[in-house]
Parts: sequence; structure tokens; C-alpha cells
Amino acid sequence: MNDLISRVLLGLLPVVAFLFALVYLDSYKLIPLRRILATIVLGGAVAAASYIVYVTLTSRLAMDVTAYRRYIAPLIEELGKALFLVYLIRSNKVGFLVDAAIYGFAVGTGFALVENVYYLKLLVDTDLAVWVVRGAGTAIMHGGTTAIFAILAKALSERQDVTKVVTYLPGFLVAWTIHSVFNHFLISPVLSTLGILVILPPLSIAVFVRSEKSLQDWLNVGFDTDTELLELIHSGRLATSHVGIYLNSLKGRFDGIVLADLLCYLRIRVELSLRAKGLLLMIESGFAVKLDEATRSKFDELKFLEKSIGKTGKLALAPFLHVSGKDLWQLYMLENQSPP
Amino acid sequence: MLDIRLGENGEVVLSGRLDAVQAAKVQGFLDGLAEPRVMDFKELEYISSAGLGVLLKTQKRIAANGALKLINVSKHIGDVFNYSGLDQIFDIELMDT
Repeated sequence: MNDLISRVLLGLLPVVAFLFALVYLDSYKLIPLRRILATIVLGGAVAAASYIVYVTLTSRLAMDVTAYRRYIAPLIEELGKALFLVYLIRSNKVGFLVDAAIYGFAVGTGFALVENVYYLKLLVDTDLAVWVVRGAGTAIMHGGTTAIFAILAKALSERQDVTKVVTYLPGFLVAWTIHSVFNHFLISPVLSTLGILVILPPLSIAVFVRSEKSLQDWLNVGFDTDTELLELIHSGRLATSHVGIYLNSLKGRFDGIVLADLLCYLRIRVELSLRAKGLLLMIESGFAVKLDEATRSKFDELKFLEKSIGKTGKLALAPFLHVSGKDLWQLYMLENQSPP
Repeated sequence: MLDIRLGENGEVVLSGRLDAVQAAKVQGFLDGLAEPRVMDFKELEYISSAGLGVLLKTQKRIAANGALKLINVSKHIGDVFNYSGLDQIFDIELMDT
């Protein structure tokens, strides 16, 4: 019984502890715990699906098990884990590198937990050293490779089109290669485990430092730009400003009502953008934040206005609206805050 | 430029621009006070996110005894607090116009 408890602890605890250490170190904590838990469950589902593919390819199609373990399993498993991250990045649900790393590691954690529970049943009389390797080596490798994929994909998505495969390919190739090399057992499993434990913590710290600096820079610049535009809108000088002159030039191309909605849309987007940045400042200073009803209703209005002005209207406002991944993410983050 | 000093009634008087460059100076001044309660913004022309961060840190420090009172806040700076949601944290008194 004690042996089983030791195996469970050695096999499952390190990866969960590493994940929650990442969450703890994140000073903004922008991903709610329930979403982290859901991501872990999703990672577990990917492990189950990968097992079905493994059985199908090796038993029914008689694929060589060694070749499968070295090349195909890393390909399928990394692809399965990466898909959720691709969805998150494409739909602007990840703001910063640290969030990408946490989501990535959480998917890998779920995968590793299900895989190790399966091996706990399969490898009954194995030495505890095997579970040290499975828990601190294989499991953390699963979290680490998906986190690396997520970090690289997120970093590239800030410079490239999020819909293009090329944004995700480098991260995927790195994750696949690390996983494949790990599965080759070129060095002893204990050394591989030590390697992972030596490389991952400093890598994680570097990501946290870069991510927080990027957030601060974006917050400083974005806050000033938003306040300047808001002041202009409220000042009564909008008509004579470059924004007003531009909007005036659109008169011939848009219906009068749509033109009015363009201005309303610009105003609400700027107000919400400023509210999101205020929320980040409050979180950074340790205030518990609840979103008020007035802000919530602005999202309803924003959706109405989006329909009214259509894609052409949004394109027309593009010179004044920030539409980077971070700018779109901040609205998602704000809308998903807890109600009062 | 930014100037920070104590007023006649113990209020913290700010004048100029509270931006990222000046934030550390203001933070140092406020940290040196046991419990700043009132800040006079009459001569404050500008505040950036770095300046708001300083105010939030100070508010966090004195939170047990209520909200930091910001007086003589201009309409524009009041709007910044309002739209960023920070008006829920501070006690804000707008300047008479």
C-alpha cells in the first residue's frame, strides 16, 4: 500500500507542483483556476485519444512499436496537445507569453496525469526509480514541450498572421524534436530527467521576466494612447482633429446612422480598452476586482455596434483602433471578469 | 517636471506631470509618509499608468484606514479614473470649475 502511495506521489505530484508553481509566480494571475483545471482535463482527453491512435496503428496496422514510440507518438501527441493552444491564440484568448506557458503546461499536465495513471495500473511491480523518471522526467517533459510550443507560437503570433500555419510550425517542430529525442533514450532516463529539471526552471523564469516587461510596456504606451483619444472625443474638438477630418471624409461612403455608430463604436472601444488596463493595474497592485454592470452593458452595446457598422466599418476605423492580439485579448479578459 | 510637497494641512500637493519617469520619485515621497490621506491634484497636468500604479500601491498600504482622498481633480484626469475603473478605489473630489 505504501509502495502504491509512493508511486502515485512520485508519478503525479511533480508535474502538478510545477504547474501550480508557474501559476503562483504569475503576478497578474489572468487565467482563472477553473480554466486551468478545464485545460488539464482537456490534456487528459488528448492522452486518451492518443492511446486509441497508438492501438490502431500498432495493433491493427502492425506498425513497428519502436519507430512509433520514437517518431509517430511524439508527432501525434504534440499535435493533439498543440491544437488547443492554436485555438486559444487564433481567437485572441491568450494575452501574454506567461499565459501561453501556463495553458501549454496545463495541457501537458493533463496528458501526463492520464498517461501515468495508465502506467500505474500497467507497471505494478516496478522500482520506485521508474516513477521518479516518469513523474519528474516524462511528465514534466510533456508539460514543458507544450509550454515551449505555446511560448514560441504566441511570440510569433505578435509578428505574424495568427491564421497562418507558419506561425505555429517552428514551435511545433521544437516540441516534436524534444519529445522524439527524449523517447530515443540516447542517454539514461535519469540523466534525461536531470536535464529537464535543470533546463525548465530557468527557461520558465526567463519567460516570466520577458512577459511581465512586455505587459508593462504595452500598458504604459496603450494607456497614454487611450487617454489621449478619450480626451479628444470628450473635448468637443473632435471635428477639427485628424480623427474628425477622417470620419468626415467617410460621409459619402457610409449611411448617416452607420457613421454615427462608427463614432459610438470608437468611443466604447476606447472606454473598454482603458477599463481593461485599469483592471490590470488593480490586479498588479493586489486589489480584488469585480466588473461593474455598467461595463458589462457596454459589451452588449459594442456587439450591437459591431453588427451595425459591419466589417467595412471596423476596417475604416482601423487607423485609430489598436487591433493587435493584446488589444483584442484585453476585451476578452475584461468581459470574462467575475460579476460584482 | 513634477513637484511634490506637503501642503499646510498635511495634504500631498502634486504639480506637473506624473509619468513613468517621475513615478519612482513620488513613490519614494509617499513611502516616507506614515499615512498619506489626502492628495491635492490642483496643479497636476497629467497622469500615466505608472502614476496610477504609485497611487494604487499607496492605497494598498493604507487600505485598513479607508480610501485615499484625491482633491481638486481636473475633469480630464477624473475621466481617466472613471473610465479605468479606479474611481471605485479612491475617494475623488473634482475641481470646481
